[in-house]
Amino acid sequence: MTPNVTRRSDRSSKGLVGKTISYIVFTTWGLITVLPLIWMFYSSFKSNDELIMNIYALPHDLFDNRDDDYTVIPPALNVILPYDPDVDKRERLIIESADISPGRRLMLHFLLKEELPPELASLQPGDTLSVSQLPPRLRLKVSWSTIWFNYSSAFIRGGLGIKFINSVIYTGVSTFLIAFLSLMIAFALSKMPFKKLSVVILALIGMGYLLSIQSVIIPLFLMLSSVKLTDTHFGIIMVYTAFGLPLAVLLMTQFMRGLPDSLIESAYMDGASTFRTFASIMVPMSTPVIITVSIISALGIWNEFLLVLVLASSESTKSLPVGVFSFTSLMGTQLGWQLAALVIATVPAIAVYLSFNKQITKGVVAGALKG
Amino acid sequence: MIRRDTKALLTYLGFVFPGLAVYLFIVAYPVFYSAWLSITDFNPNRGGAWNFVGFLQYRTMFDDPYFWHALKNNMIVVAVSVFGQIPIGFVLAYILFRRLVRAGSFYQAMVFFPHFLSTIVIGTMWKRLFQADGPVARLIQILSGDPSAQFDLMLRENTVMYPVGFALIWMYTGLYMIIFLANLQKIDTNMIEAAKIDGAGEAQIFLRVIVPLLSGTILVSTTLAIAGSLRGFDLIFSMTTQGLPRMNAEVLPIFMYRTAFQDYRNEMRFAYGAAISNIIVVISVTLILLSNYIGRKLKAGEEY
Amino acid sequence: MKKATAILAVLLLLSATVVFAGGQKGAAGAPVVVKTMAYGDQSNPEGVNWLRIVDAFEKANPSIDIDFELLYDEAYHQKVVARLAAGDIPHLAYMGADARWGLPWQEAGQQFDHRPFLDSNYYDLKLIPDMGPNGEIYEIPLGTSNITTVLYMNEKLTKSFGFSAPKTYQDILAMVPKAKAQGLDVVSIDGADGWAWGSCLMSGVIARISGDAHWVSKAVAGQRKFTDKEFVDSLALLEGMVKDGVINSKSVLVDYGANLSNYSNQKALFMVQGQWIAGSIENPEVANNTLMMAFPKLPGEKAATAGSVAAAIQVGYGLTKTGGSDPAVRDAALKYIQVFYSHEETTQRLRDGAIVAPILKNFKVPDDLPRLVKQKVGLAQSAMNTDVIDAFLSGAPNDALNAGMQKIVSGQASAREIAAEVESLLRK
Repeated sequence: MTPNVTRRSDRSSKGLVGKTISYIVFTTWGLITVLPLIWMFYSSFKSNDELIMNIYALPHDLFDNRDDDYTVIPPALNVILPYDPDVDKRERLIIESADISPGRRLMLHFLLKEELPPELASLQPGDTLSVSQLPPRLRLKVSWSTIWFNYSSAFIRGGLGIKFINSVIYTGVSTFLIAFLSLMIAFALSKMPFKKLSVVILALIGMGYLLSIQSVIIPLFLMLSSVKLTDTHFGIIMVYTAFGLPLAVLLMTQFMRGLPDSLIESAYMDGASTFRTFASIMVPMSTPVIITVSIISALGIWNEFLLVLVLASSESTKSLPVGVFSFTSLMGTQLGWQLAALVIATVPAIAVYLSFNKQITKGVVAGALKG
Repeated sequence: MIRRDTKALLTYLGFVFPGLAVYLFIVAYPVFYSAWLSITDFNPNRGGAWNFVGFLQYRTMFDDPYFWHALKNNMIVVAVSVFGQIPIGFVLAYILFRRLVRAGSFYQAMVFFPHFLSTIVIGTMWKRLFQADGPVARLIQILSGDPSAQFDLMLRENTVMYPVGFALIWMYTGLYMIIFLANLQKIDTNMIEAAKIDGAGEAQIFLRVIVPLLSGTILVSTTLAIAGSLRGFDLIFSMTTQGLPRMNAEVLPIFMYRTAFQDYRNEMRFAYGAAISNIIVVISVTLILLSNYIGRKLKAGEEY
Repeated sequence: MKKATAILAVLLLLSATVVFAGGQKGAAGAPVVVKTMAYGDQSNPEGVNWLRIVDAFEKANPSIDIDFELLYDEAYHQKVVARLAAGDIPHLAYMGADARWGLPWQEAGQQFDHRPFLDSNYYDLKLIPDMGPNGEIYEIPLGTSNITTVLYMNEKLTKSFGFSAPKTYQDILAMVPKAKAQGLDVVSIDGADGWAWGSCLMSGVIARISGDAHWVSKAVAGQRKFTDKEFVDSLALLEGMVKDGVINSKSVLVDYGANLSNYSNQKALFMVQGQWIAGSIENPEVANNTLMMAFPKLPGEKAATAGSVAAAIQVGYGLTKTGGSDPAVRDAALKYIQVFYSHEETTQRLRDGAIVAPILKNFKVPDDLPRLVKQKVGLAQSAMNTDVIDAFLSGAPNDALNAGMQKIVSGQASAREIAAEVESLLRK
C-alpha cells in the first residue's frame, strides 16, 4: 500500500486542466488546418474573375449560369478544338461565354449544329444567345460543365490524367521498394552480428538524409543522362527510392532495436532460418513502423516537385505536382484551375491516409508477449 | 546469435545489399562530385579547363556576412524543431495513445494533415494569410483596435522568425507525433497499469515511465529534426515574398540556392554552392553527433 | 505464398516501367532533326500554341523533325543548366540577352550571331536591338522590347474625382487628399515582391533623374557609381512618394495578385507594373477604361529622358552555336522560326498580350485590337527605351537593392545607406 495516495479530487482537477488544454490545442490546430482546406475546396469552384474580385467570397458565378450569355465565335488560332476536325467533320457552332472569362477563349462550348433548332444553328459569329434558349438536353450539359469548368479545364489542359497515373506509379512502386528494402536492412542492422559494420552502414545511409535536392540535382542529372535514365519511369523510381531509404532505414532500425530479442532467439532454437524469422516474426511485429514509414514516404513522393520537374521532361513522365504548378504563364495565373488541380492532387492522399490511419495505433507487442 | 561465420556474413550482406546498392548508385556520384567541385573553380556550364583552388570557396563563404546570417536563422529553425516540434509531438502522441481526448483519430489526422499538401502549397497559403489586410492583419486590427495595423513581422529581421517558427511547428509536429505514436505501441501496457495503481497521474507516468522508455525514439527524432532543419527549403521559400522577407528569413539552403543558381556575376557560383552544401552536411553531422553524445550521457537507449 | 505474390507483383511493376522507359524517346528519325528546348506548358497559351505550331509545321515539312522538350519557369532554367553541363546542347532554344536568360548560353560559349542569316524582308531589323558588343543578334525576340515601367490609370475613376491624366508628379500629388478621403490608394504597387521595385519603378526613375538612358549598364560597367547623386536622389524619391502618400507604406505587404486585385476592384487610381499585367485585368469596366502611360514628369527629371520607359530585350527563340554550325539544321530552324513568328501567330500574341509590338516588316495592325493592346503598341513605338536594372545587375547587389527599397518604404533604412550597400557589394 503506497503511503502517498493523492486525493481523488486533486487528481481529477489536474486531469481536467490537462484535458482542457489538450482540447484547446487540438481544436485550434484543427481549425488552422481545416479552414484553409475548406477555402481551397470551395474556391476551386470559382471562376478566375471571382477569385480576383474577392478571394474569400463563396462561389457564385459558376453555379448561377442559367441565364448566362454566350457569343458565337468563328474558329481562330487560339480556339482549341476538343476533337480532330479531320476525323470528325460534323459542323459545330462555337460559342464563348460572355460572363465568365470573356474574350479569352477559355469557356467554350462546341455545339453540334445537328442538335440545335434551325434558328440557333444558323447564328453567325457575333450573335449572342442565352443558355436558357438552348434545348433542354444541351442546356443541362452546358450548365453542368460550367459548374465543373475548373476541374475539366485543369484535367484536360493540364493533362492531369497521365500525370495522375504517373504519380500513382511513382508513389506506389517507390514506397513499396523503400519499405521492403529498408525492412531488410533494418533487420540486419538491428538483430544480426557485425555491429561495427552496422554502425558504418547506418551512418552511410543516414547521411543521405542530409542532402538537399538543389545540391544534387546537377550532378544527378549528369550521371543519369550518361546512363540514359533521365525522363524514364525507372530512373525516377530509382531516385525516389534512393532518397527515401535514409529516413526509412533510420526509423525502422530504431523501432526494431526496441523489439525483444527473446522472440528471435526462440525462433532460432526452433530451427527457423533467418529469412523465415524475418518474414514471420519481425515483419508482422513491425507493422506500425511499416505503416508509418510507408505513409511518410508515400506522401513525400506524391507531393515531390523539384526532382521530377528536372528529371521528367516529356508529358508521359511528368507527375501531378508538376501539373498543379503549371497553370501560370506570362498572361496570368489560372488560379481557379490551379485550385481544382490541387484538390485533385490532395483528395487521394487524404483517402489513403484515412484508410491506413488505424494501423498506426494498433498495439503489437502485448499480443506477442502473451502468446 | 553469436555465429560470426561466413554463412552469417552472407546472410547479413544478402539483407543489406539490395537497398545499399540502389542507394549508393544514386547518391554516391553527386556526393563525390559536390566534394570535388567545392575545391575547384570549375563551371559546369562553361566546361573547359579547371584548377584546384584549395579552400578558396570555403574561405569566401566564411567571409560572407550573408552566410552567418543564414546560419543564425538555421540555428533558430533547429531549436524550434528540437525543442518545439519534438516535445509537442511527443505529448500529443501520448495524449492520443492514452485516449485522453475523444475523437482521437480525428485530431490525429488534423495534426498530421499538413503533410498531405506539398510544402509549396502550404507556404503559399501562409504567405496569403500574412498579406496586407489579409486574415491575420484583420485579426490584429480587431484585437488591437487599430484599423491600420498590419502584420509586418516578416519585414523586420528580428521578428521574422516568429511567424516562420509558427508555420514550422504547425507543419512538422505531426510527423514526430506519428513517429512517437508508432513507437508507443511497443510499450507493454502492464507497466502503465502498474504505475497507475501506484497512484501516478498522467503527467507523472509520461515523465517517469514513457520518456525513458522512448528515449531512443527521442534521439532518432532529434537526428531527423536537425537534418531536416538544415535541408528544408520549400516551406520558408514559398512562405516569404522575394526581397526583404525572404532575405530576412534566409536559411542555409536558400542562401545556397540564391548564390549558386542566381548569382550570375560569379563565375565560380557552382563551386561556391557546392562548398555551401558540403558545409551544411558538416554542420548537420556535428550537431547530430553532439546530440547523440548528450543522449548517451543522459543514458538514452532502449531497455527491454 | 504471400511472399511469392508480392515479389511477382514487384517484378511485374518494374518490368512495366522498363517497358514504359523503352518507348520514351521521340519520333522516328526524319532527315533533319532540330533539338529544341521550348518554353511553355501544356496548360498555358504559350505551350498550347507551341504544340499546335510544331504539329502543323511538321505536317507541312515532313523532312524536318522538331525534337523538343516543353518546360516552363524554374524547370526550364534548371534544365538549361543541366543540359549545358551534361554536354547535351540543343540546337534551338528559348533565350534572351540578359543575365537570367542569356548568361547560361554565353558562359557555355553557345551564343550564335543570327544577323547574317536573318531575312531582312521578313523581320524589321531596326526593331531588333543589338545584343552583343559588335551588334550581334543572339536570338530573335518575340516582339519589341518588354516594357517594365508602365503606369496604369483607371481613367473613369480618376475622372470621377475631377482629375485628368497626370503630366507631372505634382498632378498625382494633387489627387492624394481626395483619394485618401475615399479610402483609395493613389498608386498601387506589389511591394512584397522585391523585383517590382527594381524593374517596374526604379528602372524608370533612375533614367529620368540621371537623363541617361543607359545609366544602369554604365554603373555596372564601372563608369558610374551607385553612390552618385542621381541614384541616391532616385532612391530618395521613393521615400518622398511614401511620405507624400502617393505610395502606401503597406504596399510592401501587397503581392502581385493583390496588386492586380486592388486595381481591378477599383481600390486604386493607378497601378505600377510591367506591360504584361495588362492582359490579366479581368474586370472589363476597368480594362476598357485603363490608360497605359509612361511615368509623368518626375521632380528633378532631366529633359533628355522625358517620357522614357524601361524596357528589356524581349526573349525569343534562337540557335545555339551547335545548331548554327550545321547548315542543314540552321536552315531548318530558321524556317521553323519564320513560321513560329508568322503574321497570324504574331497577331494572336499581340491580342493575348504576350508581346508588346511585333518586329515583323510590314505588319498590319488590325483595327479590332482591344484598347489596351493598341496602347501598348503606341507606347512601344513612341517612348524612348532605357535600361532595366536586373538585366545588368544580378546577385548580391541586386538582392540588396530590392530588399533595400523595401526597407526604405517600411522606414527601416535611408536612401544613402542602401546606395552605399549596393555599391560596396558590386565592387567587391
